[in-house]
Amino acid sequence: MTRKGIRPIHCLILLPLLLVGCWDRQELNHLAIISALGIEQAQDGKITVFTQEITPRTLKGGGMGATSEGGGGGKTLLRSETGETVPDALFKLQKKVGRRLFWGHTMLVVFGERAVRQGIQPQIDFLIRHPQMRLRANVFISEDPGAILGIQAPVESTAARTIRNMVDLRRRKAMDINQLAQMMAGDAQTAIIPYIQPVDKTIPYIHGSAILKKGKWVGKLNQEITEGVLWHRNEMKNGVISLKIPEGRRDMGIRVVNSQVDMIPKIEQGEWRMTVRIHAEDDIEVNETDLSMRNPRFVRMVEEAAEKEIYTLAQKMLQKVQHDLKADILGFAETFHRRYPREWEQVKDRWDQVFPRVKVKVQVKVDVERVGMTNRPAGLPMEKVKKK
Amino acid sequence: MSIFRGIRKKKRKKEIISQGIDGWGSQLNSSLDADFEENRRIFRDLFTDCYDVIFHPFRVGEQVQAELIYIQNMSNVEEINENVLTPLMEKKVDPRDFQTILERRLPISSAKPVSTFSEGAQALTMGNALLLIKGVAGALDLSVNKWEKRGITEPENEPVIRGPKEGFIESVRINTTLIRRRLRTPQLKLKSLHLGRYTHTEVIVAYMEDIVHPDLLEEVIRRLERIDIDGVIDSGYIEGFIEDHPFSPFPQVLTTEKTDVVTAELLEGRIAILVDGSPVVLVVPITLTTMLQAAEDYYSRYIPATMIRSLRYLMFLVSIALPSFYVATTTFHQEAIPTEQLISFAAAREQIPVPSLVEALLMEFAFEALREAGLRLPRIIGSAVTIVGALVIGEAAVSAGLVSAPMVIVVAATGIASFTIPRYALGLPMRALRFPLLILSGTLGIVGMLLGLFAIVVHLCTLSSFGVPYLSPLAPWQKRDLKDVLWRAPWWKMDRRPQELSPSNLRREAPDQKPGPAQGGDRRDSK
Amino acid sequence: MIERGRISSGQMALILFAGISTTGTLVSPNMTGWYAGRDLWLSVLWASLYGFVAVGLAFRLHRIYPGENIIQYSPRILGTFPGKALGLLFLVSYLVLVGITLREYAEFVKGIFLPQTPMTVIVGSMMLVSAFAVKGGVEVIVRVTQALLPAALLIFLVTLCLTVQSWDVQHLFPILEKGIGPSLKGSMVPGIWFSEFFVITFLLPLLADPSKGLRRGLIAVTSVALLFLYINLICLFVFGMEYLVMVYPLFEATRYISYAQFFEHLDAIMLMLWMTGIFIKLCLVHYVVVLGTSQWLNLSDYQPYSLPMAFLAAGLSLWVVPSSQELYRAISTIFPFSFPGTNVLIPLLLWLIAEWRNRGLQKGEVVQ
Repeated sequence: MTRKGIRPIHCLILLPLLLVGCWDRQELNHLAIISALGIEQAQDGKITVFTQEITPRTLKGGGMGATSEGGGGGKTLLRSETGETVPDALFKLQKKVGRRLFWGHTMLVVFGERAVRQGIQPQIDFLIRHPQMRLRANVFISEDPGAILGIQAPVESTAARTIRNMVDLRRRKAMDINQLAQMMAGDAQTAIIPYIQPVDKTIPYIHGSAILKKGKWVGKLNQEITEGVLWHRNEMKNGVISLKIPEGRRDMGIRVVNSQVDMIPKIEQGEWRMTVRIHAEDDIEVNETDLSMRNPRFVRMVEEAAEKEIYTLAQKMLQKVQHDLKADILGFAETFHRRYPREWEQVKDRWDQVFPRVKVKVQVKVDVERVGMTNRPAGLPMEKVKKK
Repeated sequence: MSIFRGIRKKKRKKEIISQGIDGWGSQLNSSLDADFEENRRIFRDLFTDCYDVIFHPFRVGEQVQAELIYIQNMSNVEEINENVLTPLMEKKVDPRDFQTILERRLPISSAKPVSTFSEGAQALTMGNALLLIKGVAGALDLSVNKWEKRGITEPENEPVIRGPKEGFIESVRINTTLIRRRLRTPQLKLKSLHLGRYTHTEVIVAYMEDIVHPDLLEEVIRRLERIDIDGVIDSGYIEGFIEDHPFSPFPQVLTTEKTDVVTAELLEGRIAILVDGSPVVLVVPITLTTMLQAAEDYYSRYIPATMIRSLRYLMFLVSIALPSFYVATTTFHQEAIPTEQLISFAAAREQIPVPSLVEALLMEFAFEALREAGLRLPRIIGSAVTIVGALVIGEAAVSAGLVSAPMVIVVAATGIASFTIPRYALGLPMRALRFPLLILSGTLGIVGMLLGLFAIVVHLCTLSSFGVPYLSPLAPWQKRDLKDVLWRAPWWKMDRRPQELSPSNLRREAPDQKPGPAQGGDRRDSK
Repeated sequence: MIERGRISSGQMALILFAGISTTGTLVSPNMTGWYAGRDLWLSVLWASLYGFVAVGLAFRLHRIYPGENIIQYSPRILGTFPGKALGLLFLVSYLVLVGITLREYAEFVKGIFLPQTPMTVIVGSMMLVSAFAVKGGVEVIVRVTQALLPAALLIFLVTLCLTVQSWDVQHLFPILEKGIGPSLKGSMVPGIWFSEFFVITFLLPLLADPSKGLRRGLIAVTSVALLFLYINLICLFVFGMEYLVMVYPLFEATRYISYAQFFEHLDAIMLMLWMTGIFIKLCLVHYVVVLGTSQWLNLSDYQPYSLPMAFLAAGLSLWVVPSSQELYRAISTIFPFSFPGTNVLIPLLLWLIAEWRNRGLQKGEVVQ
């Protein structure tokens, strides 16, 4: 009995002796923590990578080390290297950096526009295959990835964190590696990636988006159409719409609090139809008119105006996406696939041709849920408020 | 082959026993002589060069020769004068035999005849007086002992906010009194044994007759009787002899100085071993979870007690694994640390020349050294050590770039966590095992740390204390006993004793005692 | 009786649950999906039948030969030589299982966490600790399970629930797009794990409360089925069909968790949870191998052979397959036949033969 008990403890003492050697140990001060990765096409089929490396030394606030440091230089360091493929370029880059590149905290991947035109499927494969890389990393497209990664964020520690905070704040599902891979491999083989541009060398600005088909660039959407697409994909959780109210003859701002989009596919006599039902719940943000919101008639008026506005946006968006770019980023393919698996089987190889011919009907329903902290126009004499 | 080896081993053991380490002269085992002079001579022989032994010759009833032997300052001289010498020296006394003297003449409550020299010597060394009378065979052992003892104080090692503050002292007689005072029942049995060839230390086995498992009692007595040693200075000697797994770093016996703890454990069916000369009482059998329960848990209200107890469990884990976890995450799994945190960790480590593992070992080592220094030094200097330690490690080492600030935090947090373990004895293996775990996590990261923890868990699972698995009721599960482990059940729910300890007398309270207005607490209802 | 320890039926169910489900949660979704695509969760339901049958057969055989396991009763059913040969087949298949489990663990750890560390060290250190646990006997390994599993399982399930933020239930549809075929085909993969339930034959004779053995065994099968169902659905919900490109989809799904930019990057925690499960699995299967071998050789004790057998298993795990790709190919092509074969088909035949040989006998009597 007694002899049995001692063995595991022996084992505990033996183990360290056995394992003298630290194969994978990486001290923190031997790591180059990469916060963002940029990929751009270079000349003659080569790839340029940009990395945004965090330099911890200068981040230290106050501290005893601050005497010699401080002053010049940013909190992050931009490096770049060119190679045959992304891993090749990174390998070359590693040779120039004294510390091991560490990808566990990469929050941002920015593709250059030219890289996207060449196709980003191999890069996505690299990003998913890499054991350190995060599927959560946000993906963006930019005309100049180097400029984005070179941004020195004034408030946050890194530009990558600034962008991630922006994404979180807009409460909109941003495109990350997982979602991008899912879309690219999905039934429609399309993807939408937001555009990002540097403003003023310190502010990254997310504006518009690019559409990919089969991993390659097909077109660019402006901010308005992008919002329409996001709305449609149920990814717009927080947006502001300005309305013209005919009776009030002035503007009204409403905030979309919640919106739900349902797609109802139907195939009738070989004709593919899609009904898109948009239901939005709004709050009134600003009321420039003289209409009192205590009157349900006026509220209904606002709702109608909003419905019209959204309908117009949807039609504009459909015109661009369905008829101009012919890229199904709206999830029509999946919807038909789920509802009509057999019919889908027949058209799946020529969905490109079927998609533009799908008859789309848009139905919009808007409910004003709350009118804010006041129900009359504030700052207006009571007698001037239109009550009826 | 193996059978023979077994026999040989046994033989050797017997030889050693028969050789013995005899603490007394060989003549001791002989019985007292009928001859008074002879007895006197032998006693004087035995205690030659013992200045403290007083041989007081006198005459009983003014004629019969007698001698009173006692040890200075161990026997109560006043009592001897008043209750022994005065009545015996009266004229009318006629010493025919001890029985009549005892019954008629000696106003002493506790006295008994002694027949052998060893008994007599033993009685003397306990502070009793020995009465020899010419013409009367044997001697009389008069219990007149009285010696200096420490007053009953609050044990410094086990302070409580709420609850009894009474502690044991070095005298086993007083200690048994303290227990008896709390358990006023004949069911409390106090079996006495004498261990140690020279010290003849009194060892008391205390248990509750009704509650204790008879096999357990038998096992405890057997293990105690097996002990053959020259002296027992402290209960620690006994602990070393009765453990189940002598090679384990984990304590398998509960040690306490608090009377209320011992009482509570007796009521749960455990056995207490009191050793004369030691204020530390041993309680067996125990489990790991009993070591993590503080007496106060049971005196305070159950909801806060449960919270504090779970905090203690968490701290128990922290005290063994936190430095390893820190080293593993910062040197192997940097992605697990939130980015901003990682940046500040990295910044703190920029100027540190040594690897994290060495840094951690260094700090742990320094911390242990400080702790030990503070413990052993006289109290006044001890506080100076603390200040120096705080200054040197907390401030200077960081600014000198020897260690990083996060490491100081980790080591300090570990230290605090280890202080939350209510039993000092359990804190020791935690402190020791931290080092191999650190090395493991420094070589294999989380994998190494976890393998080390697995080894510890496996070891804990093989351990048992007097047949009770060390991790019960967690492993193996004793569903009913979990009420006192995962949470501290309110007293009206603590209706059963631990299953393994007292299967025959499980219920400890009447059912349905949940208080509340409906139970008669509301006076309007009773009207 | 070579094993003196006794366990309760609850302990048996717990160690079976942990020992069988762990590696399955790590690697099975990807391989199941290879055949079953979107319907992988249905495959689990079909595969669980293997588990119920295996437990049922083990229990039937145990009723005929109480207090014995397959190593002991197969010679009594088939005669000494064929019976011993069958016993050897079982032992080899379980030894391979130890090796494969170790290898799966090593590939996981080496692939993601310790790329530079030699495989020998990863395999050896784990096997060493398991061997020491097995040396303690069956009571120690069930206690280890009880000490480690509840907390680990709780954290595991909570973590799985946290993936809800990226669920898209739409990925489930269309169900049965290509009929029932793919899901049936896919059921071969989880079938490997469910057929492992036949190890219960080694635990049933050790029960202190044998009457509850069958019920608790079936509860264990049901819980593993539910867990597999759950994890397969999570993989599908989080990644859609993309889970097919990931070797460890569930691990990726938990890595994908992110709350408030703080509660994220759970890799290390998941590693700890999986290591706990794999450790328990190794203890269980290694115990079966060591005990079975000692019984097969009619040795008087099994504990001293734990360490030597562990070296054998560690060596086996290193050479059994040359690479991780070969490992997963073997699991998805060879094992779907070999495991249900040895663990379901052979016991079924054994049971039929035993019933046939014992026909017409009174209850409690058996042909020797």
